[in-house]
Formats: sequence, C-alpha cells, structure tokens
Amino acid sequence: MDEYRSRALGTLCALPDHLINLLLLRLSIVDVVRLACTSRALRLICCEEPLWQQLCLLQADELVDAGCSYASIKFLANWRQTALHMLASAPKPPPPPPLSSTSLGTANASLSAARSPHISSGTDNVANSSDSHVISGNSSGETVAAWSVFNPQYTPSAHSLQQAAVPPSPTPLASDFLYRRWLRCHIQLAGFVP
Amino acid sequence: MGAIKVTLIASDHQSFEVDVDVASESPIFRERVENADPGDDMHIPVPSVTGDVLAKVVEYCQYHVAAKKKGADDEASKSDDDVKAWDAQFVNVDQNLLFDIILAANYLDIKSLLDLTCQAVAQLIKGKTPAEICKTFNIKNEFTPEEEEEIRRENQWTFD
Repeated sequence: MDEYRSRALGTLCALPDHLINLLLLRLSIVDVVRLACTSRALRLICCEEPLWQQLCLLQADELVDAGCSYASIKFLANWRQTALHMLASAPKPPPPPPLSSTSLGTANASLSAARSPHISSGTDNVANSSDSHVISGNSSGETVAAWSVFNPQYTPSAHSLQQAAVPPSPTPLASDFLYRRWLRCHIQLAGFVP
Repeated sequence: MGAIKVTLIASDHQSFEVDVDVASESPIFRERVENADPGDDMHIPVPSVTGDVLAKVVEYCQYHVAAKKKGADDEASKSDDDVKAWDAQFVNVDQNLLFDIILAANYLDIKSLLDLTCQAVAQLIKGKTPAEICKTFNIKNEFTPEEEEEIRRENQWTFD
C-alpha cells in the first residue's frame, strides 16, 4: 500500500495526509482542480468535501468583499459543485484583471507570459522562480498571508459543473485522515445511544 | 534568563546549543524548559528529527528571534522586507529537505515555520498544468486513456 502511495503522490508522499490537506488550503480553486487531474489518489484528496467546504466559504467571503451578497449563494449537490457554480456565476473582471498583479500571482503571470512575451517581462520572474521553488518573486508583490482561492478570470464549463456532483472514483489509497473526515460529515447520530 | 542555554539533540546525536528564547519558539521545548528544575542540565532529545533538519529549524528560530529582539530596543531592526527575503532564501532548498522541515515544524508545533514551508510547496503547485505538477513531484498517473480523456474534457476550462 505504501508503494502505491509513493507512486500516486510522488515526493508528496513524505507528508502525512493532514499536512497535504493543509497545503491544499493555500491553493486557489483552479489550482486544486488542476492538481486533481494528476493522479487518482490526488483526485481523491482534492475532491474531498470538507476541503471544498472551506474553499467554498473562503471564496464566498472574497465574493462578498467584492460586493456580492451571501443571499445570492445557493447550496447545490455538494460543496464542490457549489464552489464551482459560485465561480462560474461570479462577476468577471474587465480584461486586465485588477486582482492579478497582487494576489493571483503565478497563475496569471504564466498565462500572460505565454500570450504576450513583451509586456510581461516583469512577471516572467514570478513564473520562472516558481519552477525552482523560490517564493522570492512573491516578496515584492504579494503581502504575507494574502493568498486567494478565488480566480474570477476562469469560468467552469457546464460539463464540469455537472461532473462536480459525481464523487471521485475509488483508489487503493488508504487514508485514516480522509476516512475520519468523511465519517464526521456522514455519521448518523439519531440512533446513537451512549 | 537570556543567558541560559539549552542543548537539543537530534536523532543522529548531533547536538545544538541554543538560547532559551530560541528554543522557546517551539511550544514543546518551552514547556520542557518551564517544567525543568533549576540546576537541571538542559538536554532535550528530539528523536524524530535528524541533525540536518534540526539545524535548519534552529537557524530559522535564531534568525526570527534576533529579528524580533532588535525591534524591541529601538535599534535598526530587520525590516519586514529583509525578513521576507531571508525567508524566501531559507525555503530555497531541495524538495526532500523542504518536506522534512514541514514535518519537523509540524512536530515541534512552530506555526510560522509551518506556514512558510507550506506556502513554499503551494508555490510549487500554483499556476502549473497537471503534467507540470506530475513532473515536479514525480507523480505517476494511473488513469486509463478513457478516464484521461474525460478528465481533460471536464477540466478544459482551467487551461483556457
């Protein structure tokens, strides 16, 4: 089983599940979705409901800061679908996204670098430095704990919204941490007699 | 109080002599120091952390204690930018050492170090395509071609 873990998680297998989960909370929704495409085990970890609940609520806070109201947020099939739907219906920023230079750093930088090599000579550094795992490119633009889960420039497709309601396929990954979190969400206390 | 030294002993018997303030960055060490009788020799074994990792943790705590202290007595304190630049340099290590530091920070309950190192790993993931992430972390993907196609279709929007 450990062999499967090291294959499916790569070098990340050095970390226990709760620390991997802690890492995921520092990513934006789009980054979590991309990470979920890498292997079945990571898909399981990245599609977990308690994680999406947190991502969803963080995103809701950012949306409210941007002027939306909580009333416009509706719970759908699960937290993942709710979060993606919220992202899909969020107001889109005008073409040069105002948030991009500060909190949405690298995702944007690498995209704009690909599109317009001349303009982005400054942001290139950010994209490159992320390869050699340095966060120095960050220290200029990004304030310390200001990361954002919200990527207003992306719009989830209708197909992905529909698929978000489908739970991830099973994997041989054994995780007490994920199991306990799952149990806490789904346990029925009605019949419990101490 | 400041003159008291504490000796931390790593799993491979390397020892590090540090000031009490520095060791107190970790609640685990702080508790151990506070509960010690006066006159005890302060040797704290840290059996789950190896010497090279403990060296990094000690380096981090020493720098941050020093950076905080100077600010207090009104001298030229280290500016936030200095600290940030130092932190960025500090996490610029190879992945395995970075993960070991995360484990040690988690075990020793040093929240700021855990934050810093987790952010560094998150930075490795941010803005990358799945293929790039697989390469970065040496992940073997075991999707069947049909699954792969479905995943590509489902997540196309993140690449546009």
